[in-house]
Amino acid sequence: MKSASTVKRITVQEECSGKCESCERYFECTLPLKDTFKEKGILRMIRENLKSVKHKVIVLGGKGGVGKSMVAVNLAASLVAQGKEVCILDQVYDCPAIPMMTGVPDDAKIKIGKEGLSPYEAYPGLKVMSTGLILRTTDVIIWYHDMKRNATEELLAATHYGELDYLILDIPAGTSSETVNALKYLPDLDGGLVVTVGSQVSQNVARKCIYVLDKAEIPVIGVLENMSGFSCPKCGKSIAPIQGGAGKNMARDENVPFLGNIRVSEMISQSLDDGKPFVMSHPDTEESKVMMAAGKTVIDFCENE
Amino acid sequence: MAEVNETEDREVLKINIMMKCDFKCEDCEKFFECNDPMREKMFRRRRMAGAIKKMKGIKYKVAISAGKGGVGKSLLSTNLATTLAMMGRKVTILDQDLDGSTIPKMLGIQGTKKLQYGRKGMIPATDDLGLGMQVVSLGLIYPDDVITLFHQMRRGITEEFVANVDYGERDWLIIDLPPGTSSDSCNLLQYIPDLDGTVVITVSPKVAQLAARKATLLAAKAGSRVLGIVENMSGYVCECGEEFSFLLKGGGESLANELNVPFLGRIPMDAQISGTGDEGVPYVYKYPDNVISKNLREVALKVEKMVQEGKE
Repeated sequence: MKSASTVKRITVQEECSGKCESCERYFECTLPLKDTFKEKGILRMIRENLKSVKHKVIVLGGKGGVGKSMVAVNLAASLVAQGKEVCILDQVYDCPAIPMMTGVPDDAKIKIGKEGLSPYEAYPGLKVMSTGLILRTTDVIIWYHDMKRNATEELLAATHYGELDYLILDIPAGTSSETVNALKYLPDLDGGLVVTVGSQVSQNVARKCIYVLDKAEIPVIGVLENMSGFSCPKCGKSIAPIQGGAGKNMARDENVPFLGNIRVSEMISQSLDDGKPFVMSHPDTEESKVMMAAGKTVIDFCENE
Repeated sequence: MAEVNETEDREVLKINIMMKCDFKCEDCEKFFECNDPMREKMFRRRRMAGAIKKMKGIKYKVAISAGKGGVGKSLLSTNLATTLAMMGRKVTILDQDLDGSTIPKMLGIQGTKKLQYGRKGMIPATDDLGLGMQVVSLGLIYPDDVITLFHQMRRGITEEFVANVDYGERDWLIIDLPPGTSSDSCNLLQYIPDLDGTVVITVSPKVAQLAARKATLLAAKAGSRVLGIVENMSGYVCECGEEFSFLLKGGGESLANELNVPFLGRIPMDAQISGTGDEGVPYVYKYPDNVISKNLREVALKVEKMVQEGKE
């Protein structure tokens, strides 16, 4: 019997099928065909459609449940508070949560007109575009990669956004499908905001996110650490349910700005369930200040550079 | 994508899905709804049948699902597996999370152990705790590279992991699913049609229930028995003994009632639990007497009882 040997890699097919839109090696590719793809077809349509949008920012985290949607919603609210017109594009297809987090009523539907789909205005100056506005909460639709890609194309190229200062993209966990689609279709993204929690386990994933952004040549605006500690109401001891402070370390290691900590609190979960971003409902809290500052950083980053 | 109503103020009513059959069952999004007799035939003929053969020696197969990310799927998988292993069972963990494979890290074998290739397929890595747990994970092949994987490749890897691993004789296979209710979760549910059940883990806020509800409905759609719902991050136990809530509480139980499935228990947090994941020693192994370990043991016993009864 042959002795066992270590499994070293997963075989990846290397030849070019000419289908840039569904290629896994898109960001590494240097073939001239890629330039043609960039100039023509869907990418051009998206470029044309998003002409009226001044800045585009993506919120990502790699890991699930670190607060990407929470940050997206509150970042949008903080931009609105600073006088901007904002739309959140919910790229989560399996369980779109943005409509609930922004208080869009259950029976709200998006309309389609001559110029395409029109986003739902959740608050003055804050619009929402999500598949959650089409599907009901009990609909389970199975989406494979190509379907997600088509939906992304549709949401980017056939939605009438109107005059916008910021388009905030909220993408699901993972560093493949939706993330790569968004980065591929929006090569002129202003930057990405990485959300993470304090534990090392989640850093491994968040770091991958930074590498993916790097591969796609999109700058990192900064790293936000969510769910950091609070104090016990009885003994006053400060507690870190998720140990670490690893977000700060990672920002330092990867040489990207660190935007601050957001404490975990019942107020935040309640505000999301109620559909009112805490930047609006609790403007004086520590957390709102962090988010307002993050909004300011985003504005400085996008408008002054 | 959108189907349009004919009247003036037009609303987007639904998302169009292609319904025609191209006989690629392994690649079909409507697999679980299909009743074409061809499905069985196709299934037997192709590699999908390989999983059944390789997994013949495994007594119970249970998937840990959540829909949502970061609610503690991997934590529950690791600790449930460890609990069962400490009770003397032979356990294998299959890490189906391909973008963020964290099981090797949580068991402290990231970077030190690799998957081996033997005569009968890949040989799982074993833990360092002497509990005889086996692990199959992409993190054991790529400890820290970023690979972009789209659907077909993910399916390919799942196929390898279910049909080309030398599982041998085991009592338990615990499958850690990634977030989402599409690609990886569905692949796995398609390839292992004889799962003994799915445990859904969630946190309390209503926003999290959106995803947990879909995960539960998906499992039901795939014909897998929903063993129950676990509520994680349900309160915090301070060292002074005070227990208080930092996310909301009770959402898991109300979802279980709504969907008419058992509620398996709640897992609070304490100062050590996230550290154990970083350290690579499962919580239940390091602090077997704490309340969290007790709750996890109860969940394990309930799950075991249910799948045993299901087999009879």
